[in-house]
Amino acid sequence: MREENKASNFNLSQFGRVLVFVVLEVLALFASSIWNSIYLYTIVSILLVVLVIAVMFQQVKKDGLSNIGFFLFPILVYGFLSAISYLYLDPNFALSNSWFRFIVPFGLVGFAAAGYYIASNQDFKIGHALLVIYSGIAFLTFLNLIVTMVQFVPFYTIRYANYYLYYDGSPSPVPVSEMAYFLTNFSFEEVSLSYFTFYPMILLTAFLPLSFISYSKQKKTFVAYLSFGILGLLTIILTINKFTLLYLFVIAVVIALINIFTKFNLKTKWLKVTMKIIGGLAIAGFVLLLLNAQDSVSTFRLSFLRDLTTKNALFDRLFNSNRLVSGYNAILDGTFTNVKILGYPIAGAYQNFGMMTWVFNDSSNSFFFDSFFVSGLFGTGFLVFVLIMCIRHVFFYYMYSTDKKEDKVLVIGFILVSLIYSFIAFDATPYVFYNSIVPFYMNNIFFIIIFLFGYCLFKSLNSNRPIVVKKAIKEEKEGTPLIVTTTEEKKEEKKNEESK
Amino acid sequence: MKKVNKKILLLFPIFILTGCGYGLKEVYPGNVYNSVDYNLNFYKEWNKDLNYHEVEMESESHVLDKDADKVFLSPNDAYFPDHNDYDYADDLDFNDDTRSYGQTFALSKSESSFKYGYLSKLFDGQMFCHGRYELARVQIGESGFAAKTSKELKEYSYFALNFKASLDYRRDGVSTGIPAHNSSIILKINFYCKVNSSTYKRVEFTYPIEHVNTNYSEATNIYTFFGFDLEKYDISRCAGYSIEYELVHDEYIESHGAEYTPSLTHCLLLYEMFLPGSTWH
Repeated sequence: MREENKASNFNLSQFGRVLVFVVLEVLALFASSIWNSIYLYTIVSILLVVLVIAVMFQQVKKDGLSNIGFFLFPILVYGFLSAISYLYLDPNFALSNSWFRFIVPFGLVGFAAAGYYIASNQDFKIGHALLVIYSGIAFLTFLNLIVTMVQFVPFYTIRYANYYLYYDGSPSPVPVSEMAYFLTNFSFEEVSLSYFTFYPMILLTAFLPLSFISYSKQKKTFVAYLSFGILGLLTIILTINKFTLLYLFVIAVVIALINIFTKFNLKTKWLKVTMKIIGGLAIAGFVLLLLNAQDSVSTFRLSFLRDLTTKNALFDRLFNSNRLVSGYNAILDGTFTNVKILGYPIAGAYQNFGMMTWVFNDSSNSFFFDSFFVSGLFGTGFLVFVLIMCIRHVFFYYMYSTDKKEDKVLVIGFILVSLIYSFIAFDATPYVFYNSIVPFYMNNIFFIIIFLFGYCLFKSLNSNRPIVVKKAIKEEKEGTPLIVTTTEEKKEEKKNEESK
Repeated sequence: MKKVNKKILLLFPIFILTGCGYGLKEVYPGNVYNSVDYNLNFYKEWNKDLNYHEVEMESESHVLDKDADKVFLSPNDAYFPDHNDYDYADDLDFNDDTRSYGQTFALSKSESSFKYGYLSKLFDGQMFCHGRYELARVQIGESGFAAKTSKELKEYSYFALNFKASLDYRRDGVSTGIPAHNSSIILKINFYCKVNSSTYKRVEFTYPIEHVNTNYSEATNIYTFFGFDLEKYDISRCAGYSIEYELVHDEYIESHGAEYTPSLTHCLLLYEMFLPGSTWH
């Protein structure tokens, strides 16, 4: 009889702590990139979400599909648009002609959903998850640095700027100063320096929580984050060249801005003004770049704009002749000519008509511009939609969630720095000696970003965030007492109405 | 804090130990040994430890016998073990169906460390280049070269080398048009087998080749495919090799050599070296 009772009382929700442990292990596996494979990431993500849903079933039932569906659906569409992109015809693409590319979107959605639902688990602490993620990235960076230093020497990026290795009968395509060693599937491969530097740049954000942690009270956490930051900085300095110096400057400014905004609690007003200025400049810059790039025969070609930018030295430097922009221009130019957007509305890759093959040109060193190749115009649209929606919720999470400030700052830092660095320097063809195309959505950091998006979305939707922010601010300005309905209160009201 | 500082300080020796620069021991300022001046293209690097002219080492010498050592000088020779199974001419076709000899037995396929360094030209599977792919050849004079391998040879069956010869095919950057003729050489292949971590035993093989096609330029397709059986010799733990030759006789130098100042220089253009079925550890 007792046995029967035990059986009937069996409930998977009792395994919440085990689930948290599993999630942390998976995050460590992904962050450390020990087995850097999209197959592994996808399968593990799908298994993880099944486990999360099984254990957190009550939460899944309570939440329904409306909130998470709004988050997951665009990711799924983005994944499928990437899967059906013509890039699959390129033999160098990591999933060339493989049916598995149709499974990857479910992996992306699964990992995002796992982040969303695990946030409702009381035993899951984002501080622990961040420590695990940063430890994984630090482990990877440390190994990469040691092997790179054993093979090369400190500051080889400056001392051997014009020297080449011979490989397979030919000089290396780039000088040794533009390559480093990276752990890939249990062996160290030569990768581009910009790909190698991605991980130490992320580690620099570990300096952010130090402003909010007291050394005397949280000694271990303080030392851990300090070590991660120092490791990141040391790695970048030992492998510095003029491009990594530029990237370091950009990332340092971003980290400083995050620190200023969070440390001095510059919330709504200043944040909004800054965001609007950055957003406005970004949109204006993109439109100008897009129009200026139309060099080939195209419907959108504006010769006078091209003339204008080439005649002025500063504009020419900005829009035509610098290493970053030339890659973007090639893609934006091709988007409205080679791809024939109306004929191939979902095409991601360019057709090289001379060779009659589908080819992926050199990476533009930007995940955003690469996505025109990788996922097509509409795929890029969905990606941008996901990013804007999620970043908005990440800020709501920062402002209204009850998580510790040091964790919230680190989440923001991780997401923004990863995305900004990937925007200016992500190499989708990272391997020096063979041309394997591994787009950003197959990268371990992208998986971690969407996990954190899921987490922040749940926390944002279940925080005391005012629903009508604009109205509340207006009322506050007019001097009337501030009565704001929060998401939590709204849920309570709904529950009461239902019970009546 | 002091304890923490000590732990952090422990990391610094690791960084001091790094910076060995193993990968930088052989770096070049771009494409090398590919000048328009013929005389600048000779590869003459002798690894110090393997230079038996200067370093004393235990050695044994073997003069190869055509029949006893199954020496072959062309892919159609009956002693060439794989001449019926592989396509000898189709070295650039990476299609798996063709069973290209070069691509199948390239040393870089069996041991990835052969992919690194200037001499990787000899291990990339490209057996020919009729002047179009100058990158794929190592030009040597009689003094030859010697190089170490990253790993030690464990199993092996036979040795093969694809090469052709030439005289100053470009003199001062201008094609000389020296007519195709014959030369005869004594080819010397040395294997350096490890006795202990720093000393080697040299195993020398020599073979006189009476007719080596000596071309008017590098842009011809007449090659010598030389090889011999290694199974009865002990070259296990081989961790280095050298290739050199002695020019015994050159028809053109003998008949017209006196007309040239400075004198004509003979060379071998090496394209691919094989140790089919070898394993390395």
